[in-house]
Amino acid sequence: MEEEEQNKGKKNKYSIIIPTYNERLNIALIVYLVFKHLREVDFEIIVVDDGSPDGTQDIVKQLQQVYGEDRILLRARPRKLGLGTAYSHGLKHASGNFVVIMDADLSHHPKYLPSFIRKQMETGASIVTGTRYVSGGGVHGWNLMRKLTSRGANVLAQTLLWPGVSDLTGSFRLYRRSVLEDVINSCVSKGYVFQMEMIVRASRKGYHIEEVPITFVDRVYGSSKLGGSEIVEYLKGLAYLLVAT
Amino acid sequence: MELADRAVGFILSVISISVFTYYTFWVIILPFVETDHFIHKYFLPREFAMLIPVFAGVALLSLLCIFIGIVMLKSKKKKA
Amino acid sequence: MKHIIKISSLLVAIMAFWIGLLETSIVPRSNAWLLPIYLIVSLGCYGLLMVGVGLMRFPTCPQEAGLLQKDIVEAKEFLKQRGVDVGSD
Repeated sequence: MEEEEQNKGKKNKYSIIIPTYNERLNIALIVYLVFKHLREVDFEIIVVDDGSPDGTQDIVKQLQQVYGEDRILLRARPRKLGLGTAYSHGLKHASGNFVVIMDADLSHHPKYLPSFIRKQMETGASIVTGTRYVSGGGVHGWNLMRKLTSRGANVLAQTLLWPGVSDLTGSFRLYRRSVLEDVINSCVSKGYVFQMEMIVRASRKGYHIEEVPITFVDRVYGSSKLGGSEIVEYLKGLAYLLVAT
Repeated sequence: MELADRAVGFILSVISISVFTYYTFWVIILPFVETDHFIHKYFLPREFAMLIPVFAGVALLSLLCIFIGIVMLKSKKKKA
Repeated sequence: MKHIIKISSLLVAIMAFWIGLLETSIVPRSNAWLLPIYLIVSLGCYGLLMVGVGLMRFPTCPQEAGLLQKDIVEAKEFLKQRGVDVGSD
């Protein structure tokens, strides 16, 4: 809270961390949309690319020519090293006092960024997380099986973990920088269980978490998967969180 | 498509509510009704109130274990 | 406090209550025996109900897909003008 008092005079800066792997087209579209929807805000985009073979980095360099190298930072890593470390890698290079993390596959639309920022300013929350399961939010492109598993997974997590957040696996979030630094170091999970671990740990540590509705349009280019092994990973993650937090 | 999904949700809700009501009636209220009352015709003997859920639970658990086992075996094969 | 401890203590409290019920026999013993199973069945029904309700009220947004397509066209147009190579996908 002290930090906030100090920052009142200063303008907030937002660092948007986007991990990519083979998102050549999507990253260009995302960057354009971020610049379109965030006009009156000081921000930077940090692309953490895990050595995509499709030329994602070339596109990012071209985008730097258009928007300026100080607004778009390319912080590449040599090979696929996982989502969790991608965020801490991006965080090292972030200069803002707030950090936004989002997916690069356009399932998270940048037009919701202003509502995240507004919510944070109104409530002074440490974390604002996007939720798909409230009115105003929503999902597009899921079949019955996908809906059923996601509802089942959610009910299971709500009953077992009591996290106080309605959408645990969503990964469109705004963090106060110090909070993200604090939470990210204690997280060990991989994949999307990592998102769940972050928010559960933050909630256990007593950070103020707020939610805003977002819509989720399943991947336009490429395909997302949900099979048996994802379900088992989820159950393992749930059991781990039950014991560890 | 959309409507069908909602219908499935509705059916699930109805099933769960009716199971709950039936079971509550069976376990909580029935013991206070005299044994020769006609309503007893609609319920199995009380032992089954214990046996059915236990069997269902064991069956569900073993299905879950089989599912997890199969998935784990598959992923191990992929790695090897 | 670890979360598992919270849940365990809740379970222990319920167990204690149940054993108390069995011992004092305020209600017939045959009834008290069924209490844990009754609770499990209720929990299962609650879970199923929540899944059902969640599925029934699952918020969907077909209009968003259309809007996104528009945004994509607009973005491609703009980026192409600025010389960003977005042609091949």
